[in-house]
Parts: sequence; C-alpha cells; structure tokens
Amino acid sequence: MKTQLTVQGNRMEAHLSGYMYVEDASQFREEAIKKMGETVSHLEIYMGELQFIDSAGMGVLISLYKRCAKRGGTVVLHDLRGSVQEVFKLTRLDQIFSVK
Amino acid sequence: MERLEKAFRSRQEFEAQIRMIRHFLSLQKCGREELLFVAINEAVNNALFHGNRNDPSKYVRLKMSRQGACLFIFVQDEGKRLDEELFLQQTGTRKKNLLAENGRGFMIIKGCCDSLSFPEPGTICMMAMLEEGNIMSGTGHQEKIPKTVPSPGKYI
Repeated sequence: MKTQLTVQGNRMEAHLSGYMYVEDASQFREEAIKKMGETVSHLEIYMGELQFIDSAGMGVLISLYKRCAKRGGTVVLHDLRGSVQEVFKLTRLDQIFSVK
Repeated sequence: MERLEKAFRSRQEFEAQIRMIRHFLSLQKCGREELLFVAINEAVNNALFHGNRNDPSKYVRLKMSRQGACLFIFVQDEGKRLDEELFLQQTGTRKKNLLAENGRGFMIIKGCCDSLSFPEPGTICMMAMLEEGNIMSGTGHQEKIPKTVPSPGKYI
C-alpha cells in the first residue's frame, strides 16, 4: 500500500492507495501516529484508490479516530468505493466516521 | 477450474497465493468475488493468528470447490479453539462496541457470504456463495443452498 501524509497545523491529510493488509495497516498506524505528533487533531483520509481493507485496517482507523476524538477533533473518510465501502457498511463503521 | 487447495504457514505464504485465489474466484462468476476474497482473508488471518497462534510449523488450509450453483470455501487450522464460540461472541445480539479496535472478523465474514457454518468443531470455517443471476428471496435463498454440506476432508 502507498501512503502519503501531509500535515498543516492541526490537520493531516492521508492519501491511501493499493491494498491495506495486516502488515500495511500496522505500518500505516506507526507512520500516521508519528506524523500526527501532539498537534494534529483533525484527519482527512482519502481512500478513492484503496482497493482493499480488512478488519486490521479498520482497527487502525478506529485507533486514529479515538486519538483525534481525545484531542477534540475528527476523522473524515473520503471516496469509499467498492468492497471497501461495503465492508464499512457491514461493520456499521459508516455510522462512526464522517464519510464524504 | 472447479477446485483449488492451498496451504499456508504465514501471512507471507498466503499473500504469495493471492493472485491465484483471486483468479479462481473470478472464474466462478458469482458476482461478489471481491467480498468473497475479503471473507477469505479474514478467515485465514483468524486461522493463522488465533487458530495456529502464529506457529510457523502449523498450516492453514484453504479449500474451495464449486458444486452446482454453490461455491464452498473451507479454511482449516490446526488449533483446538472453538471458532463457533468466538463467532457467537463477535456476532451475538448484545450491543457491540463499535469503537473496539478488534473483534469484527467474523462479522465481516458473515456479511460477505450467504452461509457460514462450522462443520468440524474448532478448526474449520465454511462459506457458500450463490451463482450470480440466481434469484434470491427469503425462501428461495435457503432452497438453493444444499442441505448436505460437502465434507472438507481430513487435514494432515
């Protein structure tokens, strides 16, 4: 999976593409937490080019959501598609995250 | 291709077979290849991490076979844990914590296939999909899934 992270003030943008399997999810979590530091509270994740996510990846997104929520911020998911979108609906996580 | 059998001892070995697994699924023309693959991935993870406890000497076996309008998928580990109990915990009617960071694997598997069962206690998860184009209604759906589930076969 390819990840591009950009921070501006208290906001971070993450662009994900490819396949997020277990190892990729773990790596993304490490990179995102490091990049977020102590200041980022708002996360926008662009998933239009992400073709696969599993429960491990969803666990990582939830952990990032909780981190932002503790700081009074939010996580917005953009462009959920195909099986990624289906899996979010199945697990009802589309009720937790703001989805655009 | 009506049958595929693979064995893995790790995520790396499984990921090396993904292309062939996806190709087999696409040949079945069941219309939900991507979701089926999601289910298989979850079941294999469950088997590797929870069933075999990441023991590199133990295998997870994936067996897929087409029988009429149904595709049967078995994932078999060498652990002793009862998958059915874990399944009931994860998918039971009690209010679930949506913010839990783990424990949704079986929920995903159940949602991605038409039928889920545990034909051999503790070690096997079975999924069946209908052929695309079959009409699905309340009773029609149940009728098309055969009452007799094929045996997954012995594991070595």
